[in-house]
Amino acid sequence: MNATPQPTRLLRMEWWRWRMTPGKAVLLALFGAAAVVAVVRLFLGLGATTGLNDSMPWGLWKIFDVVVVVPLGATGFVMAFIRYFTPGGERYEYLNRRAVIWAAIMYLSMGVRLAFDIGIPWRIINPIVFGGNLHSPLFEIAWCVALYLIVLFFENISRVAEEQQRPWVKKVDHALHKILPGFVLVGVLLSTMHHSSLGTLFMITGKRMDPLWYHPWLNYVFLLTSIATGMAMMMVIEGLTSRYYKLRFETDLLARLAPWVAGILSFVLVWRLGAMAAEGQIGQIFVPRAETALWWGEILLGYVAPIAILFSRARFTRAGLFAGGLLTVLGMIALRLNVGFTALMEALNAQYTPTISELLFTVGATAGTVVIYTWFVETLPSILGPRQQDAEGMEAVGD
Amino acid sequence: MTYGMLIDLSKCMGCRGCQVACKQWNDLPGEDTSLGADYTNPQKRSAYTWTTIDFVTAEVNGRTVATFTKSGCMHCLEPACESVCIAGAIKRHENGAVTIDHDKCIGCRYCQLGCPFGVPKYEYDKPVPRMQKCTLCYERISEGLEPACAATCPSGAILFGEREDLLRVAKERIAKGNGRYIDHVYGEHEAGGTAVMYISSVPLDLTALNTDVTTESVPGFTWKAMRQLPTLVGSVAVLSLGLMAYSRRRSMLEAAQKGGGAE
Repeated sequence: MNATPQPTRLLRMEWWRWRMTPGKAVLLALFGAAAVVAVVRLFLGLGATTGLNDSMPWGLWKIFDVVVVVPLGATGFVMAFIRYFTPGGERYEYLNRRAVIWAAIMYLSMGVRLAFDIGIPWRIINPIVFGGNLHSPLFEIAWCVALYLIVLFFENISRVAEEQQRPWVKKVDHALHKILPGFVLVGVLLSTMHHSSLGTLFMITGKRMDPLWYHPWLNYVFLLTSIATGMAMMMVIEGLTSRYYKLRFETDLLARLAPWVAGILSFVLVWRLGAMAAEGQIGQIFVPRAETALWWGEILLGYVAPIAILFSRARFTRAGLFAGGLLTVLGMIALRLNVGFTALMEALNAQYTPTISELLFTVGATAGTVVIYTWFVETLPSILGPRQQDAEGMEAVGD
Repeated sequence: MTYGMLIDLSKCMGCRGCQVACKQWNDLPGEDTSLGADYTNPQKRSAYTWTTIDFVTAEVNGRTVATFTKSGCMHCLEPACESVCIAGAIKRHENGAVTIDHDKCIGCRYCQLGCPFGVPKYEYDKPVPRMQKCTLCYERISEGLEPACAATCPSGAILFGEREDLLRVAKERIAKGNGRYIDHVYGEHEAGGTAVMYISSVPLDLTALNTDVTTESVPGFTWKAMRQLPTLVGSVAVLSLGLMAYSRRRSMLEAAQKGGGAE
């Protein structure tokens, strides 16, 4: 193989493989709109752009853009764990590649979105640089996320290295593969911490929270649903990626994960009901209130339905896995939104309606993450699978 | 030593002198105000109004009773705001005052979520906002003065001093009041104890005081989860490494079985 790079390579941008399509153009337009909102917010402040007020300090930009977006990126640590720590994990190599790039995008996106949510964006790194408060769950999350971003860098950088022909790059990449399980372990530990701490955040309100969502160990409820989401989101990503890029849907590999997702969800459901019963609040689920309808919606669509689908034979079909995964993810989102809005606004006696610009920012930033994902997938094709001409070289990576 | 304030609601006549003194001393701007159903004005505390007299009008035994509650920061002995602050910007000083360092605050607004009394208020209208609340006039009490509100109160409803002394005075007043006072010092146990305390001659649920507030120390609500993190991480690490060792051994045995014996 010829190791000398062409001198004109960069100029001709041969590496630019991303192609615009009408669908991507729509997502990019939304992304642009979110950027406009972000700039306006910088100059006019939070009060002018959001529905936030003293009665409701945390709105969509915190509850969705941080508390929901982080577990959407849970694919990274769950799939890396499966790939490197479980028997027969090598089979998950290519699913893991999609998982870790998605996680990296979600975490970076969360960091940028959070910067616009906090009052003084340019101070976002200050608590880490100048020291903060060890008792604060938020400080713990900040550190974990910052360190986990480093782990995600090393989990992803091999995709770039695989595009290179230089011998020293291959050597370094090979050395990295030797120590990668160490990085993965650190990533798993950091994730265990910050996914549970995202639940701890809300525990400060204690029993002021609506009894339908009060849980004495909300942190573990959040951690467990994050783990389930890590696998469920993989089913969603794989469903969409395989359709869009006309690849084989990894039914066998994902079907193996399905019972685990359903099992975790069953455990969480029983634990949540048990905790309510222990508090003597189980009767709340029959009290006719708007909140009760939201609770039933969350439980039936986010727990009962995916448990039924993912335990049944439907898990051996593409449609079953995609539906079960999507419902699990939606159930996770419903739990976060219900805790963050329904239960919290009750606790704080808050008035809050997100503004159009606030919604646009959240929707646009989320649309942006999808476009960025397609950019990486198209630019670094080894995310999707071994390339024919490189098949031999790729096998070695399987380790 | 912890300073604090004892607010005797039976002595308050609702003149709002404390509101004015607070604005003056802290150089806080005026706000557009309006009257609501009762005479509380401004109707809500904000980043620019740290203390208000909250008027509550209620019917008791056929008589109309008006109560005036001087509301503001309670200066908790174990402040929830301090425990949740990501930047370590909120600090409870030895003299009992809980203050916010604006140079450290990043504006995450977690303190607003954590405070069981809803005290911290944010300058949402500014591009570079600050979190604001009563400082117990930290600079004044450091120089041996009373807080501005206590110094100005014409009816002696706001008593400033060491918390222990104030608690004793409160209990004395209740004991010697011949049933004039409700037998409850609000703030002795609320939120794990506060430096600002109240006694009242009308039932507390007729005042603006939050009678639903927990008597537990609020920082413990999140700390009970935080303190388990080392155990959690340790067990996950051990389980992961164990599983990895098992997986490696299994794939080695499988390879040997296939006759490859590469390893």
